[in-house]
Amino acid sequence: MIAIKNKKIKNAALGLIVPIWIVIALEIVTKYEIFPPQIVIPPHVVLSTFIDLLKTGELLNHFLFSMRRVLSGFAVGASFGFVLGTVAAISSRAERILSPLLTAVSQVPLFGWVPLLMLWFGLGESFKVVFIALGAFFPMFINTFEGIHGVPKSYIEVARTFEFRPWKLLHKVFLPAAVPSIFAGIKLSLGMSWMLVVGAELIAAGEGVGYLIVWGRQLMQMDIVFVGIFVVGFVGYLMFVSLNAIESSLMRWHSRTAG
Amino acid sequence: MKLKKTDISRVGEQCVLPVVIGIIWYIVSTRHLVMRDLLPGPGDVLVAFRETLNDGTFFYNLRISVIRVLKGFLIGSAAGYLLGMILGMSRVMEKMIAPIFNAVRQVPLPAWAPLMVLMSHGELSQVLFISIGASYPVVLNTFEGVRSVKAEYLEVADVYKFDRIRTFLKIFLPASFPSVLTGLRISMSISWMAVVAAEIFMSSGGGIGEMMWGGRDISRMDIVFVCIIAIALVGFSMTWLMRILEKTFSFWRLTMKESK
Repeated sequence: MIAIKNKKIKNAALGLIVPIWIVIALEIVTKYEIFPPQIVIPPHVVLSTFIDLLKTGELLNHFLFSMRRVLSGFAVGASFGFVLGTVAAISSRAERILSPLLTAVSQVPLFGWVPLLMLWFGLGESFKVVFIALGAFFPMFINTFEGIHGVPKSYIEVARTFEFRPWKLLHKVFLPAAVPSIFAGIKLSLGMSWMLVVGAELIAAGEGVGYLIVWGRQLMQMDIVFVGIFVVGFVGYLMFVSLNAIESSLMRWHSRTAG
Repeated sequence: MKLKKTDISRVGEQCVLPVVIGIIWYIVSTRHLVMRDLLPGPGDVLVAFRETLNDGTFFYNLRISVIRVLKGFLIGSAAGYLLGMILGMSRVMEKMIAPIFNAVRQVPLPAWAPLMVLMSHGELSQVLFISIGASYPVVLNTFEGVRSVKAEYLEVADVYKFDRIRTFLKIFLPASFPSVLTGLRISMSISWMAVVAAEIFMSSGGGIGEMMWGGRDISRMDIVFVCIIAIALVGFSMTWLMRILEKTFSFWRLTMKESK
């Protein structure tokens, strides 16, 4: 027990060497102004800027703006992806009708849509939501489709013998069996949404975490830029971790009911 | 005979949506139901394509983007390969570097753009931006590839007292190769997305993304359409090439498994 604990502490310590070394190196380098002081700034300044922005509530405000955009874009895109993915997986005719268009659309790298969407939807919220929804759609669609498509034939045969109606077949057989894949889709889709909201806010926004970064750049204030980068990374990480936690608790429930 | 009929109806079904959209597009644009600035007709797009082809801007910008993406891809994937190899081959290095690598990886790619602009200008900032995105999948797949090497191989290496370089050349390099190729393919498609993003975020020195952005600035939707189609086609052919490469070497994966 103690040995395991010691090993964990040792591993954590090893992981801290590089970050601590970077912080110390940056402090020394900035003290003697080896690099232009506007660009390479000491970590403690970033920290104090972070605390300042947190205290004034500015950071929270930007964060909430970004979050609202992400959630609305994700909700629209992922639910479309879920519904169309389910439909395409159940009916091979629907798959044949949908797939040429979706394949063609998915060939365009997401940022390639930006100028088009900006001309169609303006610079406001609708542009950002549509852009995020477009990005959130594809991972959800693909994973839902593959999850439902991959349901073992034997399950379906059993359901047939019990003469399940289509609706019952869907929510008793297909959806539960596809949960892991659907969850992977949710994770990818939300991660994509978070990346795109930052992208959209870099291009056109007056608030949001992405805007905070651009604003810092325009003021030539590297500390603000770094605070923005840190927050964006941290929030992405938190979303990932919390989705993982939800997933594992859901899986436990899933295997219990199945068993 | 009957089978043929169903085949035809299947192809027909696949054509339904594209044809419907094509007809709607044609009617809307020829009847001017929507402003031409918002939705140019198919003919307008073709005319714009010919126009940019004739004055040379199309291939000029496309060439810049392709060269740029190759630079970013090569730098990023080479760095990624090196890092993945180091992390895979040494447990101590993994414990030291993997935590910070995973932390940095959480930052969505676009967030690095303003930093790149501050640190360097023009071409270099765009190439660096692309190479950041290009490196992640290569690091992860190289690491996976190295870690999935069979213990027996390493035992043999131990018996023959291979040094690190020899172990790398004789075991890790060939054994991780298929996995690395998968990483390179993912990396390629991310790079192509990143070059478009880079040219929009920090436009300088041309490129297909910048040409598209310029089309937006002067409300030339036809040029924007030309660029979108070009970007899609080039991206598609790049991933297609990488897929062929991956398939060509898939026998490698097979023989590695069989030679157990």
